[in-house]
Amino acid sequence: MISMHERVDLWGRVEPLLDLVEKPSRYIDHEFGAVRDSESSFRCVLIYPDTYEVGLPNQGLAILYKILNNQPGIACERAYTPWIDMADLMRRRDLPLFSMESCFPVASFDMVGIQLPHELAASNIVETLDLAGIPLMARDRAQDDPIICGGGPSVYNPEAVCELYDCIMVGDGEEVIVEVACCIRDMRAANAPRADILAALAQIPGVYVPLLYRAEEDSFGRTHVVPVEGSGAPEKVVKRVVADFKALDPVNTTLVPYPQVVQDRLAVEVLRGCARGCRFCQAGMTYRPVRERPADQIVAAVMRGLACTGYDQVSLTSLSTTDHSNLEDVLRRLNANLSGKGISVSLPSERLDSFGVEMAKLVAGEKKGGLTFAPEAGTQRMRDVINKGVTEDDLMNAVSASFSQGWLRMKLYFMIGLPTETDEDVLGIAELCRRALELARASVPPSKRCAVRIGTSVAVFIPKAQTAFQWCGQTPPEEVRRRQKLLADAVPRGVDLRYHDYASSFLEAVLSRSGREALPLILEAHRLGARFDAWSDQFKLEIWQQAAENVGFDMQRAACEPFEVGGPLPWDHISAGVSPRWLEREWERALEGTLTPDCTMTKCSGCGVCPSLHVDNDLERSRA
Amino acid sequence: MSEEELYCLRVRYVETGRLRYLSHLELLRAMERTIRRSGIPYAVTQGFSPRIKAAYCPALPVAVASDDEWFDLWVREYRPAEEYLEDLRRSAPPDLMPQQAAYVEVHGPSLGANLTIACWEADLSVWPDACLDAADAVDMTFHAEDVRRAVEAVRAQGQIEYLRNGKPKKVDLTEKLVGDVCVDPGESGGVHLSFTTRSSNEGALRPDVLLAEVCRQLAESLAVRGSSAGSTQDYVVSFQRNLRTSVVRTAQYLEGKDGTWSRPI
Repeated sequence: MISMHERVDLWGRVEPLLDLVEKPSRYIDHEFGAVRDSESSFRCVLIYPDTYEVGLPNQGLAILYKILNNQPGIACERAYTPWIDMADLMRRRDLPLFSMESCFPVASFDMVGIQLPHELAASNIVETLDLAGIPLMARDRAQDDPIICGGGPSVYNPEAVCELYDCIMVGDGEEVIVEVACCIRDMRAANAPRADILAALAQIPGVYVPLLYRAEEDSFGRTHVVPVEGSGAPEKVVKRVVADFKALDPVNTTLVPYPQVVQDRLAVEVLRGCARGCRFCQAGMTYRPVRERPADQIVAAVMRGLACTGYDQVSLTSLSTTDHSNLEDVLRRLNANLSGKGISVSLPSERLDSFGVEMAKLVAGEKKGGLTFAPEAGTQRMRDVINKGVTEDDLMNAVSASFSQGWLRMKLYFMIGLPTETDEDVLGIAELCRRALELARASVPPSKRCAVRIGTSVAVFIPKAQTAFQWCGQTPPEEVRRRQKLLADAVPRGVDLRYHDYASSFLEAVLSRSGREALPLILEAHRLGARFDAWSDQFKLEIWQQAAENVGFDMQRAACEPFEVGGPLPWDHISAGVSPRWLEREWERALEGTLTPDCTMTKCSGCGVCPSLHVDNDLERSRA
Repeated sequence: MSEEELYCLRVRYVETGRLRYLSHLELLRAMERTIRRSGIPYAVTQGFSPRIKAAYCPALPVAVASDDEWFDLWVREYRPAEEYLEDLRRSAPPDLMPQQAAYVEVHGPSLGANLTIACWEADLSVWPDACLDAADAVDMTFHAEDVRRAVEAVRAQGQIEYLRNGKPKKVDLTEKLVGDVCVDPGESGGVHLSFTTRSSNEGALRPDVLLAEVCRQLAESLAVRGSSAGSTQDYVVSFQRNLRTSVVRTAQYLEGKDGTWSRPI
């Protein structure tokens, strides 16, 4: 039996398992571009709490991997959550979770980063720590245990899982991760007690140290937290922002995987942030302000990235790539540069208007698959409530533009269960699909009419922290089912209707809205076998229901009970820079159906991010 | 549109170390990325989704290494093959390193259909105790003579029936297994085998299928000989889990209509 803290190469014990598991290439490392630094004594490992195929393309981790490895004296490796077959064999054979590059036990590292990619990763975060043999709770960790750090999109209410972490970084990670790593390195080198390291980390702006906060319960048994007196921890942890986004290297995905991963292409982040202000959207609030890269930088980055990776596809990523003020120029130049090389450009989503279709046409070339648009709601009233800012005319223009230019398939994304939704709004989705289908058929030559396909995917609204809808409860399960049936009966023939699995949206709402009281539920669900909950074939709500019963947790109330506007919220101590008063006003405007314009197109809407974080929108040219 | 003149570059490469765990599709993707990184002026296929115009030798099973893998790459410019080889070597992962390159006829025999003869070397040994599951603790002693008898038993069957992706398959040994299977004591206590297989339109004898059948026969004979408490079935399962099988494809040959073998270059 080896000590978990000993840095020994476990490959000799991993290899005999590879004949017994599916996709052995998940575990072999040795990718082109992987960094091998065996010299540095301070070692970090960054873990995506899902399989290799899901975790490897994650851009956030790719950026941090590169930044940490560029620091003198710091080595950074990767690890992923082993798939079920591998994890079970590892437990049977007492093999702890290992890193990719050196194949050292994860528990032997100084700093272990486990991303918080989304709420459904909760059980996998537990699974990852458990396989690593690291005490699950931060308060139970000893001096030699690694410092467990978190970060990522899902930190804006980290409370359900926060006690598994020693520290959580909020906001852009490029700068803060170096400060955190250097702090841990220097203090561990000086043999500082663990508690002192945590206290020092809490002084770094943007770093949340959950142990230094205590929970207070409201009358519903829901918790919010306040700093422990005398701990020196800030009352509010405010997110970090990279003000000079252009100064960051745009080429980060230089590690080329062998297994087919979920986004198997070069990714170049062309802009960060989105100010459209959709009221349900957490990312739209938390990634502000909007910062664009110059066209020259994007084109050069694509060419350099392709040359060093050999990918045959590049994706221009961001929350809203078609909003980049020079996108058309970028796409035309890339098309000219890449002609005849069998390399394609892709955009993550299409903007819902004819400009969106024009841009899609520029990247599609001869191959026109399907186009995807997100009207989100079926009536203008509902779209105004959520501040979607698109009209039926926009959608119809996009439909006629795409079908008359050769596309035959279109997918439309909607949500049901939005605040103030009525049956009329639900039926409006069916009506919108009907009109889109009619127009699509009229826009193609008669011989192709039968080939026209409109698909619609309907998700259930999940209220998220730090948005204008953060006080809302999720629509209760039985009411969601009634509305789903109402819609299913109304959708015309020829429209393929799909629902996002409600059970997993329900759990996501539970985990998104809860405070620290949800951790016993998560630990119990993991004990009962929950893991890979983001995989629809693995997710079983029954496990969570059983766990809730065992620990006495009311999931329906956690998901569906509204919060009082102005009352305490579990995530009050985390700030994305958006002013709470502005969010309240946005909620009031939502109820009135008043639109709030995008500040990159018109005037400032007063969300508070720029003045409070001392940053500004940084656009290449006016978007107006 | 007039067809531009293309040249066919034939490349030999190895698949070694950890990269022997790549599936065939993963290998193809890795090689295409190597080609793109190399900057070689490759030709692309026609159609809506243009791809690099290349063709590969028959697939290597997962976990099997090779000293002798091949692909043909169609290029748009004629340059000395050694230059292209150097470009590829600069861009390749060390475990997929190109070794040799030469031009061949553009419309000559294809690698996929004509590279039908493959030579294999295999080593059977036991994984170290520390790697194993306590539940699989069984006597793993065997000698070259035991393996030789198992090989004879398998050959005597004339065919192997096995499951692939849940589907029953059958492979005929009389035509697919070429010549003798040599069995000798290996280094450090294991057993070494070498054999040659032939593939045809009706399919191929995969080395892992042959070795699995040999090992099943071997384990069954050992179970009968021993007096272990568990059932033969349990013993065979544990034996197979504890057994380390290292296989290498050492050479491939084109087989002419007259039965003569030739190297791809």
